[in-house]
Amino acid sequence: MLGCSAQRLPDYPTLPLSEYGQMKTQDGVTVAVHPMTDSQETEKYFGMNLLKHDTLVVLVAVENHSPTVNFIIQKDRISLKETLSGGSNKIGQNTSESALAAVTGGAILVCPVAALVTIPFMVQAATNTAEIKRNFAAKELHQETISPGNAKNGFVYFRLPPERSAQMQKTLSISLWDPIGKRSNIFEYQIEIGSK
Amino acid sequence: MTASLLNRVIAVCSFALMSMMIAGCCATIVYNEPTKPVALEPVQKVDLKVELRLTSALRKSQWEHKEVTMTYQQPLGNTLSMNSEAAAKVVFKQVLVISGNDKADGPCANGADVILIPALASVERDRPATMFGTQTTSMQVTWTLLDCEGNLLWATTVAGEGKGPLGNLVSKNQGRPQLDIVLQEIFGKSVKEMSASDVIRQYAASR
Repeated sequence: MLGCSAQRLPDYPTLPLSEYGQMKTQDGVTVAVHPMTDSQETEKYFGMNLLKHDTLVVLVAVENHSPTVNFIIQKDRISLKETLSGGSNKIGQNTSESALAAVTGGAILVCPVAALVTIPFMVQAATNTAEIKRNFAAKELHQETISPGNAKNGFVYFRLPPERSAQMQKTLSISLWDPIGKRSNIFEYQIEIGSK
Repeated sequence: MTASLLNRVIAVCSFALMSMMIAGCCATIVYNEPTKPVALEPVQKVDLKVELRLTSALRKSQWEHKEVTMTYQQPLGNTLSMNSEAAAKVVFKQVLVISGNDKADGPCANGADVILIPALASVERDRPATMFGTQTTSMQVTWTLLDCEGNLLWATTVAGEGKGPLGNLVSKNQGRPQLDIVLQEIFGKSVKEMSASDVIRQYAASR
């Protein structure tokens, strides 16, 4: 894993949004996501096989191409929920606040890095737990304003149930808030999660 | 030396060793917290009366590292609160400091126009192999600005990093140089980001 020296885990490369797995655009803002379900990839960028430790990591990249509107990433509204078949809540549809509250019922909400209390136990064998914890925090997506012409990206972390089926399909929901229009733009993506 | 005398010596040594081990198990070193705010460059003030909400989570924030026999703590609550107030006063015309309200919504206190909430997002310190190695302290502070109805107006997260020699781990000022660098970087950047925000200035102009 890591050596005795404080060797830094590498940053995830910044790619054009079209090169990530899934991408959607609404009202001039584009959001792309890349769920890290490959153990080699999480080993490389996070120093451990995270799915094995019931943690799903998703890269979220946002570009604001609107000429006038600011958007705020609503970190506490990011969620992972059961995929509903034939539901009225279509993917990419603008969803009101109340609808969002309804659809996030029972969802796995995004887990702030500070809440990943098991990290120290996950990495007992590692020489440098501080680097792994620092790396988690440094790469985390935060609640931030994205002004016109700007972009942000970062990772969100979800705790998965330890007892889960070999293949799970979930819906990732990301909310961007327009502070002037006082409305949320909801972006939804289907994610397949493999076994440990 | 007789056998009974030898047994007594062994018993006394064992007791002394056990006492040292038990005492060592409970040792906690609490490092000194900076008591003065960092120096901040003046900026053109934003014409808003701000309620600066210093939550109990911010006031209690600290870095802590536990090892088998030792616990190391770096309290951060007072210095983060003090520097948040200093940064807010550089950026905004009026600042009303409120402690003890941990809610992230409205209403504003005492006629304030907006609510500003700083929070410690993360803090980490590494441990080089020797006291001559370079230690790195990394920290992230999140700022959230709400209107009086609790709607999000603006948010950012500012990161800072400081490096310095590890030095003597049991010194009360261990890690202080790198902590000073981190605080300077974070609150300097915070002032720049808040004062450069079009959203904040547009909101102030619309009032």
